[in-house]
Amino acid sequence: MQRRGVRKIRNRETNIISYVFVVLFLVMIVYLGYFSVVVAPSIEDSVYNQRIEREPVIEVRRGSIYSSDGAVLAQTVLSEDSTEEVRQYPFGSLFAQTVGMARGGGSGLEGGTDEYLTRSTSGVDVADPMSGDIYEEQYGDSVYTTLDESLQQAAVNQMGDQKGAMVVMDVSTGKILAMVSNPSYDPNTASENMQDWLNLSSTDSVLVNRATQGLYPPGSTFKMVTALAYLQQNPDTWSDFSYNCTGELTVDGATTVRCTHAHGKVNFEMAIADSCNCAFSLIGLSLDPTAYRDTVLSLGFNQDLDIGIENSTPTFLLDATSSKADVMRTSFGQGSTSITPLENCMIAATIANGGVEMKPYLIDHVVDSDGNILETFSPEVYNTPMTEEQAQLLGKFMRSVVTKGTGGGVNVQGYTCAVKTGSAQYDDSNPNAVRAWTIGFAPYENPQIAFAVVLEDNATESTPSVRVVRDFLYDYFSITASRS
Amino acid sequence: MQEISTILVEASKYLFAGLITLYTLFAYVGATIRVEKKRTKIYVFETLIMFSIHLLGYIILYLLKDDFRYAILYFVQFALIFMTIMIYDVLYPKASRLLINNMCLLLMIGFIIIGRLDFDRGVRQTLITAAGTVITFFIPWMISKFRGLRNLSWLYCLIGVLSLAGVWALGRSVYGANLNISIAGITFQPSEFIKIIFILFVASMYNKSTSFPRIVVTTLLAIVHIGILIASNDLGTGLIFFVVYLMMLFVATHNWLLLVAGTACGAGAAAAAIRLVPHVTTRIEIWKNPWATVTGSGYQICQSLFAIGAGGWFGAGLLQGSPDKVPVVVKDFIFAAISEEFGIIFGIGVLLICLNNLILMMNIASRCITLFYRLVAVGIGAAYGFQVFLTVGSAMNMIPMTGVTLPFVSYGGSSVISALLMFGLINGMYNMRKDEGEVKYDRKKKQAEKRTAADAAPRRA
Repeated sequence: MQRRGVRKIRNRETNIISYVFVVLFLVMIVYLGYFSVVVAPSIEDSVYNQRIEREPVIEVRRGSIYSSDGAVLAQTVLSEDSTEEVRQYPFGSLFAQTVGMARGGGSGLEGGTDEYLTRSTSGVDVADPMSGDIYEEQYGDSVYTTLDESLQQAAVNQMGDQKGAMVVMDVSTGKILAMVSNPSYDPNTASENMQDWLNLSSTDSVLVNRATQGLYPPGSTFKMVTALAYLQQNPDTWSDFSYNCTGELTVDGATTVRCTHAHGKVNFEMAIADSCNCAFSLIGLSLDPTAYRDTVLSLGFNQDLDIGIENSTPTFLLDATSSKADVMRTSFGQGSTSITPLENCMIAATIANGGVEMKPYLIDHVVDSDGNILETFSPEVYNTPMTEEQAQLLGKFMRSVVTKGTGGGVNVQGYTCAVKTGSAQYDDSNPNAVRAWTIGFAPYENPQIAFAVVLEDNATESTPSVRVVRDFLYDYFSITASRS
Repeated sequence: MQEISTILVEASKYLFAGLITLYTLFAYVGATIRVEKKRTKIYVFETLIMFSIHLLGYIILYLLKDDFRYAILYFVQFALIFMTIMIYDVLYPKASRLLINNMCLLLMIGFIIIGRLDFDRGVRQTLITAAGTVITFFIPWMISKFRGLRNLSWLYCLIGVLSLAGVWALGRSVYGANLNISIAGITFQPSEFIKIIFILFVASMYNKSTSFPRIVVTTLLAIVHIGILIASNDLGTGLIFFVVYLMMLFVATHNWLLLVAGTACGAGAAAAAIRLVPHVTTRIEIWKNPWATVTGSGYQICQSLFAIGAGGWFGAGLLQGSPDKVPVVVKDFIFAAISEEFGIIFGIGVLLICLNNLILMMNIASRCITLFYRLVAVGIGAAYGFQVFLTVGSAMNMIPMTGVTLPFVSYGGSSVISALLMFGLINGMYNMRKDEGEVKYDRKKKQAEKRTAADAAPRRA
């Protein structure tokens, strides 16, 4: 008995230590079981768990963007050491805002056609140079645009470094053939310069596409819209219109409208051709405001338009409650109306297309990496805001602008066109600062293209934009002549 | 052939789990049997099971890797373990066969998993184990031969403090901690060996007396050791030194109060370290939420958790997981690799075998009549058990990362050799249990009465 007691004392401390460790180890074992049963299932799907067999991430090489005649506007190539893919824009700044950039979610067509460029409908089996494993390399689908490289080049050349925008559309289809926004940028240098571009103020921004996003007062180009409303509301009597312009008009002793000079006696046609503000103030006042508003909205104002790239919605605020002063200003394109160059081009195209407004579009068709056509986009009628007769009349008036009015500068031997000029005041404190507009179509007899040009820089009249149109049309006719 | 391999791997998951469960049962049954002769059957079963595990592991490695070198490596390792067991049997028949079997099983589990991760490391681990085993054959002999070992307290202290300070001053930074030192191109981790020197130091101090001044002096010197380790950022080893010292103090003084007070002081020091030492603060932050820094400082532990989680009860199967995704998996995170491919059941088996080792060591300690030996055994047991706790606890983020290895299993020369030395010391002392003290040499007449007295209170010799 005594020995047993002694043994007990002797083992006390080592037994205690054993028990302590038994407890420690049991805690570990329980924790291990708990972890395995409770915690592990909740963490195994973590993206950081490289054990999970994930869908192999198939790297799709981004597809290309082509002009309508197959020139590469954007493509992905391997860097010199074949280690990374580089997005290349062979034309540099030429198509900048329209084609856009693939970076940061994509802008322009790079953003708008991303779903095509990043999906792959065909693959090529290639061998991995390291392991020899065969795997399928995926090439994204490619997009053919409606953009015409030669016309784009001509438009950019004639715009020069003037700040502003230009849109050229195919009259019968709505295809956008050229789209310029100045100032521009070279997307190939984006990695170095992006930060600088982002830091530019909104008025100097190179990233904004002025052709679709720029909202400008339409100025006198809007007279075509007011004229349409007048034709619609006075189908039989419009030709009776006559007004003797003295250079200014005061209505109700308060609101005074001025013309650049006294136009003298003008009929409806000459009111357009000479761009007489006073005459159009009276025309505007004579209109039923609600019907006028309907006419304007039928052309696309206040209505979102999906063209696959960023664009702003032109706005028209006039309604039955507006003041006479607002009606007068609005009727010749001042006031609160704002328009994008694209919309203005659409108006010109509608007139040229016999009153049928085509939906503008940029993507012609989509092909897989083997060149098989997957999808083709057809022209779509957007609206029919005017009759063919009205369209012909408006077209004739625009022709008069060239032959006997403000657009005489476009009237160069060898081709015909119809235009409407505009010089829109955008700064109330400086009535001489204007946005120079010219919209129109050509050739007059057989319209093929419609165009809209706006120049932002402190012009005092529409002449600079007329010059751009003249030179562009010269190029256009040379190009079409050489093609046929 | 492909199909046979697949079936074999699938079946092996359950075989491994079953074998280790059986082995664990035998290990615990063996620990309770006091009569040596009755354990013979257990030894045989254990030996059969451990060689089966090793063979099964290498058959899979050989077949799936389709590499003949694995067959050669298998035979070398088999011969090494077989000879270790035989030589111990012949030279030191009184050494603890249970402990040796456990050690060999753990070594062989390490051989499988290290060989699976990296063949070259498997070879190096085998060679270093062979070298370490040869060295440890001499330890039991040395212990019985050089009885003056217990009187060298100041020498141990000097070696310990100077070495640690040297590592701290010269050591190059490895994983944020100054742990390694290179001599003639061989990198080793001195703290693994100083751990043993430290145990000898404390044991020899308290072997002389446990008077209050001596406790104060020893405690202060222990704090110096631990302080240098903390300063070198070797937090895990510092913690092991602390626990080892506390346990040895407790056994030496039989004083509960000191144990409680020591634990309280340690907790206080830990709390201060968490606030004041940036390295510690970081590890606590990682421990609290490793997912917050899953791509940075928490990467390793998160990968370890994925590995353990991926295994489930029976594991993914040998060569079927991705333990190589865990950084430093062959060393500090070997348990994650075991859990992933062998499963949680096997992992629990490994833990229970480690616990079995600790219990065996404590039993040996309790049988040591000389206080010096008893203290050394307690120190080694505590160091071993706590190190297992730290490394396994870290691998599953139960406790903050400590950066210590799993003895015998983890890859690394310092780790394996120091573990072999510790087991060699334990076996040396166990081997002397019947001729301990001066039995062989003198005072045979007084033996009987002395033994009785010794049972009551261990002698200070």
